[in-house]
Amino acid sequence: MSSYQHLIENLIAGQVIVITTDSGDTIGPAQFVTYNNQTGIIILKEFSSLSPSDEVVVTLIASKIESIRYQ
Amino acid sequence: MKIFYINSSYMGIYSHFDLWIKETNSDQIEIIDIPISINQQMFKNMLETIRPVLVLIMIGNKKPNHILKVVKETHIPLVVWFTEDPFYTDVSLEVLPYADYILSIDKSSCEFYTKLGYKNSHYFPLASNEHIFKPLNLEKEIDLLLIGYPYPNRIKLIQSIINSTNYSILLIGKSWNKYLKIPNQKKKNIQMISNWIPPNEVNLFYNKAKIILNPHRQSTFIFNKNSKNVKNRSINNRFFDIVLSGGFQLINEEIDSFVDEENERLTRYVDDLHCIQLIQKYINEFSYKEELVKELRTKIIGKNTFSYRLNTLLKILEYCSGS
Repeated sequence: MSSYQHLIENLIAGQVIVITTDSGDTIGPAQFVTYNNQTGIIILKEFSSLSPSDEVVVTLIASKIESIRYQ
Repeated sequence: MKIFYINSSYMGIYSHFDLWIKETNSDQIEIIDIPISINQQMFKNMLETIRPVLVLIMIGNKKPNHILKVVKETHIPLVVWFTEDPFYTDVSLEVLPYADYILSIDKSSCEFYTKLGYKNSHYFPLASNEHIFKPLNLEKEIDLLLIGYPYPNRIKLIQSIINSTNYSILLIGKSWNKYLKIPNQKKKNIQMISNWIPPNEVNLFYNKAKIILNPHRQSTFIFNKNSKNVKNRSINNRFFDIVLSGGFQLINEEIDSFVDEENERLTRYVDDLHCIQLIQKYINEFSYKEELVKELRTKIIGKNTFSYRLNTLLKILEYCSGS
């Protein structure tokens, strides 16, 4: 199992996290929705900070995750 | 008198607007709260059974077809409050034909709608909550505060301030760190909070800041849906929150004054350099700023709550139905 899989294997749907990707970008605070280990895609739900604030679905390549902060 | 209020379904400050509107329930007005996701047939049954005097809905960047269609069928007056005007005018244009009464937070948008033939449009700014936004006797430990999305004009202003001054700055809003270049020696002065913070905490920060920067969103921002480029010129809802909190704010000059031209003119800046000059002029003038804010607050307080807006709306309806 690769290191990023270790990072996400214990996430629970609905858990609020902040992800830092290996490009240095941060995503979140966002809710973890699901992870597909066949495609390596993680799905999150984030609130857009642009008014009017709405839910935005973020799909992310899990192997690009560098760290996860739990809130 | 029963009013149906369609919940905005947006997050952030809108969830509080929804709550504050519901709190306007009184002996005269009963607000019946309807979720935007309500089943179409159930909504129609409710409208036909209860027959509210009006249906009120806030429109931002979405057109809720099922709600608009059903209200139209039942002939109950639909009041549409465009609370993001003119940033999503393309959406507003699609909703306008359904509205019996048009409320817009922006004067330019009202004029735009009137020119299109929609005579029943009224300038109707958003409102605040006086129980939440109020002066607190706190030490002014932050020089400059900006709360909100990092729009390009805001980024440019903050970058200019960082480049040419040593003031402490607190930025609250998502992703500010992505857009600013902060020299190492100034990093200790610049703080950022990337979480959305609720109104009661916002009030705390307003009370701790010497100057609050309130550059308004621009009509040309890339994520707007405003193909007609209607230029906004009316104050945003933060204006009320800041005044009610007793905070001192600086605003870009494209925005019209709201109640007191002479007073508000002193807090308008032409460009980034002028803003910096105003910051230098006012930052330690505590009693002068306090006097200006106090004067403005007296004119704002009591007249810019959701309850006051609802009463104004009823007067508009009464006037229109009588004329």
